[in-house]
Amino acid sequence: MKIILYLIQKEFLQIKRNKAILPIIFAMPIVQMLVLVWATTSELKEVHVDYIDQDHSEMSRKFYNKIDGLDCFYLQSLDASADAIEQLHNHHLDAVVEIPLHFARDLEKGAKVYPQVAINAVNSNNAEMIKGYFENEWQRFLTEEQDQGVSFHRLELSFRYWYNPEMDFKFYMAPGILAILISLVGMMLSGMNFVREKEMGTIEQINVTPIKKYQFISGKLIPFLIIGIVDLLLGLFIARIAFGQPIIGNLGTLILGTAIYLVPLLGISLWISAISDKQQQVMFICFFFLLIFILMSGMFTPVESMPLWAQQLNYLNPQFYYIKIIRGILLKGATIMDISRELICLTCYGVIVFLIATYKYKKVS
Amino acid sequence: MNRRVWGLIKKEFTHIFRDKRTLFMIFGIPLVEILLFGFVIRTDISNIKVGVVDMTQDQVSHDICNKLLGSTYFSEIISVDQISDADLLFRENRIHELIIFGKELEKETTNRLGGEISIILDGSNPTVSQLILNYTNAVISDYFSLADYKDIVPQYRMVYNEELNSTYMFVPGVMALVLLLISAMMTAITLTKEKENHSFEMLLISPIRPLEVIIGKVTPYLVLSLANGVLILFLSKVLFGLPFLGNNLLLFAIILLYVLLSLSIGIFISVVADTQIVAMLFSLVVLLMPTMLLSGFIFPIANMPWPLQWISSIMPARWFIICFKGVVIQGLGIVGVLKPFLILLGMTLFFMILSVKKYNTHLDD
Repeated sequence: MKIILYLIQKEFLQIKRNKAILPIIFAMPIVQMLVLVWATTSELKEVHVDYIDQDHSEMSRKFYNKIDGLDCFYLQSLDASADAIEQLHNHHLDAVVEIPLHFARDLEKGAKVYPQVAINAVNSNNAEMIKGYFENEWQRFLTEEQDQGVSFHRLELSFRYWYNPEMDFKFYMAPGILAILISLVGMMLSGMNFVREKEMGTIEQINVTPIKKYQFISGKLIPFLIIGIVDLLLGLFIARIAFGQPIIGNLGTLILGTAIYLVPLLGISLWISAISDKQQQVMFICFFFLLIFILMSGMFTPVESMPLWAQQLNYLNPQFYYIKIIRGILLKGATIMDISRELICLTCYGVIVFLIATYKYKKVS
Repeated sequence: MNRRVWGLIKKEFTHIFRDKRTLFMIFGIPLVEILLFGFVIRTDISNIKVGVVDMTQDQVSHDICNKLLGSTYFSEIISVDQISDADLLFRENRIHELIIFGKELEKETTNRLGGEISIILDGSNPTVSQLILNYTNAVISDYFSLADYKDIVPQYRMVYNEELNSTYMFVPGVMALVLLLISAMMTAITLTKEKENHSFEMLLISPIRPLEVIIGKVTPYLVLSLANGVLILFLSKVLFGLPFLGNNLLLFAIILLYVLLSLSIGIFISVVADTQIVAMLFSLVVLLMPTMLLSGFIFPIANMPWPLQWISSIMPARWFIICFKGVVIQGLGIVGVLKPFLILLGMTLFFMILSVKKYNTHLDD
C-alpha cells in the first residue's frame, strides 16, 4: 500500500511540474461547460420560410398567422412566380409553403386541398422537426375551423414532463458532455503517460525495482481517477453556476459511481498501453475505442432504437452504464439502489480489466 | 522534388508502415464511424416502453393500448397501480412515458362529453420525449378521429433528400472529422515526437532546409488522408448510395484543400507544443471536440446562440461541410460554393505562413 502511495505521489509531482498539462486539465471543463453545452441543442431556433399565397383568402391569411405565431419561424412572402425549389436555392430558405388557388373554397366544400410544403432536407433531423411543426399547426388550424362549424366533442389530452419540466436541453446535455470530458482526460492521459515512460526509457528503472506489477498499474490508474473526479466536480460546479444544472441526487453517490466507472475505462487504456510502445499508437487506439463508446452509449441518440445486436454489444461499453448513472443521479435523483445493476456490472468489468492490464504488463523489455 | 525530400518521405512512410496497429486504426476509424452512423445510430425512437395507470379498465383504454402496441414505435406496456409508483420505474429506466386514463373514459367519450387522458414524460431526455409525445398523440387522435378533415394533410416534399436519409448528414461530418484527425493530429504528434526525442535537432543541423523537413514529414499524411477520403466516399456510395451530383474534380479539390489546411494546423500545433501529450490534448480540445459539436455535424449551427455561431465560423470543418454538401448533395458548381471555398483557402494560407515563420525562429534558438 505504501509503495502505491509513493507511486501516486510521483505521478502528481510529474503532472504538477508539467507547465502545459495542468492548465489544460482545468481549462477543459470550463470551456466545455461554457461553450459546448450551449452548442449541443437540438431545438429549432431559426427557420426561414417563404409563404407563397396564391389564394389570397381570409383562410390562407389565417394559416399564415398560425405559422408566423411560432417563435422560431420567420416568414416572408417572396416572388410567387418562381419555383419553390429555386427559392430554396436562391434565398437560403429552410422551407417553402405554397397555398394553391381556391384553397378556402375547396376547404369549405370539404374537398381535398393540399398546401404544398417543400423542406430543405439536407439536414434530415431538422427537416423532420420542421415537418412536425407544420403538422401540428395544420391540425390546430383545422380543428379551429371545425369548431366554428359543427359542435364536436373534445377529448382532453394533457401532458407533463417530469424531471425537467421546462424541457431545458442543457440539463440533458451537460451530464453527457461531462462524461465525455472525464473519459477523454482519463483515458488519454493515463495511456500516454504509461507509454511515455517506455519511450523515455524510465520504465526500465521501475522494472528493476521490487515494485509489483499490480502496484505499478494501480499507481498509474489512481492519479488519473482522482483527476477525473476533480474534473467532474469542477465541471458540475461551473454548470451549476452558469445555467443552474440541477443536482437532484446525492453527490456522494455520483462520486462513487464515477470512481467505479473510471476503473474499467482507465484499465482499458492501461491494457492498451501495456501492449503498445508509441504514444501515437496509444492515442489512436484509445481514440478509436472512445469514439465507439461515446457514439453507442446513448449520449446523443436513443439506445432503444439501435438494432438488437448493437444493444447487446453495449454491455461491453462502460460508458453505456455511466450515462445511465450520471443522468439518473443528476436529473432523476436516482439512489444507489436504482443504479445498483449498473454499479455491479461496472465493478466486475473493472476487476477483469485490471487483472488483464496487470497480466499484460511485462517487467522485461 | 529533390532527393533530400524524397529520402525524408521514405523515412516517414517506413515509420508509419512499421506501426501496423496505428495504420490499422487510421483506416479502422472511418470504417467504424461510417458503419455506426449508417447502421446503428438512429435519431428516431422505437421500442418505447409505456407505463399505464388505468382507472377505467374499460374498452377504450384497452383499445388504445392495443393500438399503441400495434404501431411500430411501442414495444411494451407495463401496468402501473398508482401514479406515484411511476417514479421508481422512470428512475430505473424501465418506462419512457406514463399514460393515465381518467375515470369513466368510455362513458364520457361515447356520450361526447369529453374525457381525460394524461401523459407524463421523462423530461430528462427532451428530444426523445417530444417524439414520444408526438407518436402517442397521433395514435390517440387517430383512435378518436379528432379531426374530420383527417385525410387533408399538407403535401411535403423533402428537397435534396427525398427519403430523409441521415447518410447525407453524417458522411460530410465523418469526413471532416477523420481528415482532421489524421492530417492535423497525427502530423502534430509526429512532429512533436521528433522534438521530444531531440531527433529534430539532428534534422535541423543537417543540410535539409526547414521547409523541406516539413514537406517531407507531412507528405505521407497527405497521402494517407486522401486515401482515407477515397475510402469514405467509396463506402458511402456503395453502402448508402450517396448521390454524387456535382463535379468530382471540384470535390477532389475541396478535399485536397481541407487536408492541406488540416496539415498546416497540425504543423502549427507542433510549433506550440513541446511534448506529445500536450500536442494531443491541444488537438483534442481545440480541434476535435469543437469540430464534432460546433461544425454543424451533429447539431445544426442555426440553432446555437450567436456567440457560438461566431465561434463555429472559425471552424474549418464548418466550411468544408458546406462545400461538401453543396457539391455532392445539391450539385452546386464552383460559383455556388465560392464563399466557403475562399474561406478555406484563406485559412490555409494563414496557417501555412504562420507555421513556416515560426519554424524559422525555432531554428534561431
